[in-house]
Amino acid sequence: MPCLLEMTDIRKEFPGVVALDGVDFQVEAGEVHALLGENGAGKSTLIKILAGLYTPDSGEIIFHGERLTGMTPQKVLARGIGFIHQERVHIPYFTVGQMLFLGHEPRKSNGLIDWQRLYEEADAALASTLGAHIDSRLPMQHLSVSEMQLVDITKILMTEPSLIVFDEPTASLSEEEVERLFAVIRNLKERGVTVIYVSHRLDEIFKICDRATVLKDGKRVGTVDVKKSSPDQIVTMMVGRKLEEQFPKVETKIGKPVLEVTNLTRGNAVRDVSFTVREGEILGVYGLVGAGRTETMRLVFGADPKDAGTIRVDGREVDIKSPGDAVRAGVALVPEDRRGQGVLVDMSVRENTTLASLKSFSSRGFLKLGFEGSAVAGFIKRLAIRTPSSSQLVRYLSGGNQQKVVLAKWMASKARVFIFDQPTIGVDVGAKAEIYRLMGDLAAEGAAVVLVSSEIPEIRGLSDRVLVMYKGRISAELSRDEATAEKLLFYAMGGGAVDA
Amino acid sequence: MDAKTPVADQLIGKQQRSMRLWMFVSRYGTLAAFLVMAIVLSFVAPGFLTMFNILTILRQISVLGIMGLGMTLVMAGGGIDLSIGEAADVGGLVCVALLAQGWGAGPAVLAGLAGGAAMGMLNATLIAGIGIAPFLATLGVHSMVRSLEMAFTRGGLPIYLNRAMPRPLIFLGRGLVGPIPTQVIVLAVLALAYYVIYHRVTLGRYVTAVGLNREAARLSGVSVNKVTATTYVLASATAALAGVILAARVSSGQPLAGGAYLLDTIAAVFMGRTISAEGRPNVLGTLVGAAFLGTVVNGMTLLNVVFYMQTFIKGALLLGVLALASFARTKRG
Repeated sequence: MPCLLEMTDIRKEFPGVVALDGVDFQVEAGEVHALLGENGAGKSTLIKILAGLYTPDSGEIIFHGERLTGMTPQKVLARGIGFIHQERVHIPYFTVGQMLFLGHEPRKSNGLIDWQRLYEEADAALASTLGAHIDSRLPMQHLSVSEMQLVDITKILMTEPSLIVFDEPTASLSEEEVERLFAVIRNLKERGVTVIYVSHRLDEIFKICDRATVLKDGKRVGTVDVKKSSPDQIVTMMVGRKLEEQFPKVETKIGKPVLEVTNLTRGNAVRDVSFTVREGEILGVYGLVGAGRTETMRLVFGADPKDAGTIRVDGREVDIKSPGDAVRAGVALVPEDRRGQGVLVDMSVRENTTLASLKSFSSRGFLKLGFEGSAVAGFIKRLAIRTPSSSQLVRYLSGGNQQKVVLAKWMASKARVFIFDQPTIGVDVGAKAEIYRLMGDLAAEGAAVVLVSSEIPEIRGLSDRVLVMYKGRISAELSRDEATAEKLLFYAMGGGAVDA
Repeated sequence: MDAKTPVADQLIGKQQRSMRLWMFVSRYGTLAAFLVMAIVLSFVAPGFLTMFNILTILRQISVLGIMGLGMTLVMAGGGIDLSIGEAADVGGLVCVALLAQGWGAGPAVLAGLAGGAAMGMLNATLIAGIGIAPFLATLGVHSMVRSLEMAFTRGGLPIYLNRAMPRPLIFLGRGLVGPIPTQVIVLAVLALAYYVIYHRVTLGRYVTAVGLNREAARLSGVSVNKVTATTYVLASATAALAGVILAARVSSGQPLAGGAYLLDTIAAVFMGRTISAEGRPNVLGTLVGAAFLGTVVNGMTLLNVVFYMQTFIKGALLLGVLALASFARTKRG
């Protein structure tokens, strides 16, 4: 079969990270080709290079037998490659028709927009996309997520592309909407359009893809024929074998329950989630992006309002309606977006450290600056925060040290439950080990620790027990010994759901 | 490669020196401009550098300074209050109207302050409760209260008393403590109070946090809406006191008088920001900003600059100072 797209020896380096290390990727004309890999494997980078958003450091892209160089998104589109991005950009007040013809509206001879023709052509274009029964005069903001996606697909098809890339298109779709999308993709295939399908979800790959290429750590592991392959084989390819980092797992005495969450629910993002964390225990929460882990933890912390569910701390039911309530109840969240949500980068180490517990550093509202200063100095020493002084703005600290400031803040507030959401993103290897050690120390002192992570080695190395989430639900609970990389990925990709 | 090193060193040294210079300018440029202007005026303007004139300047900026204190807190919390002039009007008008009804000085002043605080609560509800952007919420309140002022004063007629101002108010508006005007003392006391709130009280810390990153503050357990609401109530009540002083100074309630202070108040806070290392609104800076603006007006009056050109020159000088600060900030990297 002829190769429609050939990407050869693609290399892309970002400061401190090799995102792609000599990747080959070949797509044959007329197939639906899956691009798979864990978070950070390099899928997005590869797609962005193809889209002309990034320039590769080296490597060659051949499309329709022609070498593509110096690409911009416009040029790529003009060659016949269309992209359905995960995050859609729409103008909410524009009608569907205006959106479809944005920038190339049909004109009348006097130069004014020919609205009648625009809407007629828009209706015709929508009708040719399978199942897009959408009124072209509706404003975009009245459309569902799935309908917006169909508008995107229609818009792309109007450019008559020979290749369409879907980047995790089902992330925010319901199951019926996913089926409808698959019907559209099968229809595209019948019309001779080639499709690259980027996803985490294993069941989807087996439903619509012909071949699959697996990336891991910026390298291509291999390409398989989906019909001759099995979920297990693909998971093994994605995970690899080696456990790269060593984890200082401290054996602790696990005591009575500290945090008990029952039937926590919010829309479709978090559905009926229940779990318990005990004194001295580190509970890992694994799942792929969009599985509902962060959303669950934000509910526990009161950062978003919950639809239903109860939360108990140390056996007492607590009514958590805001982060303030959570802090008073002894629950702490170390958020994933450290610089945006964890620390205040333009406040000092000192001000950050005491922000959550300022009441205990004041009397009748007046700050006890001396007491505050010595307490902060104590935390700087205990957590080995590398800063010239406590008045240094947190902006100027390294990622790892910023994370320690977040930790100091919650230790100062005497939290009982520490929830870490992807705590080592953007942290260098040395600081990572320190943060792991501090988590172990917290557990050893009797705190209950929750570790949300997408990194399997981290989850396996630190957790006493692991929950796996898939589509807003807990899909499995595994003991430390049961939690193999294969099993974690299997349940995270809805493997259990496929069997059932 | 070795041969090049001294040149490179020299280049780096030069760059560092220039960066240090701009750092200095960005930090002290406003103060320096203020000093230069004062020195020039003391040579060219007759009677500028006399105790009497300096006290005059201080008296003239006290209302602006007091209003600026509240605005400093609001802006430190990431907001803005375009209705601050009307809060001053409410304070003055309510106070004088009640005096005209035969109320005593104490209750009338308190009622004026309460009126201002009520306006602050309205702003707070719109901004922290409902979530309207501060600029728009206070713009709406600004417009509504102006209209009410006109409606209740038969189209903007001043409210006069048919008797003498009570003594305590005369003391507040026109009195002296030793050689110093009472209102300057009030400004000093309030400035100290605001300094303490800002730097020594939990509220000040929370306000700064909310102003810098509302979401991070919220996720640290700070009751961000309560903090925001407090800044607007405090600012309006403080402005109402400025309005009472203004009314006491002219022995009448002047509708729409406070609006004239809005732009100067904002300008003072912005100029004050330039003297803080972090570029945040701060109490001392606002006072310097108010003094700067007051001195410009005073100097032009002494130099007999045509009245209609005075605000032009004030505007030009303000833009000059802000441009310098912004230029220096980009230069120092």
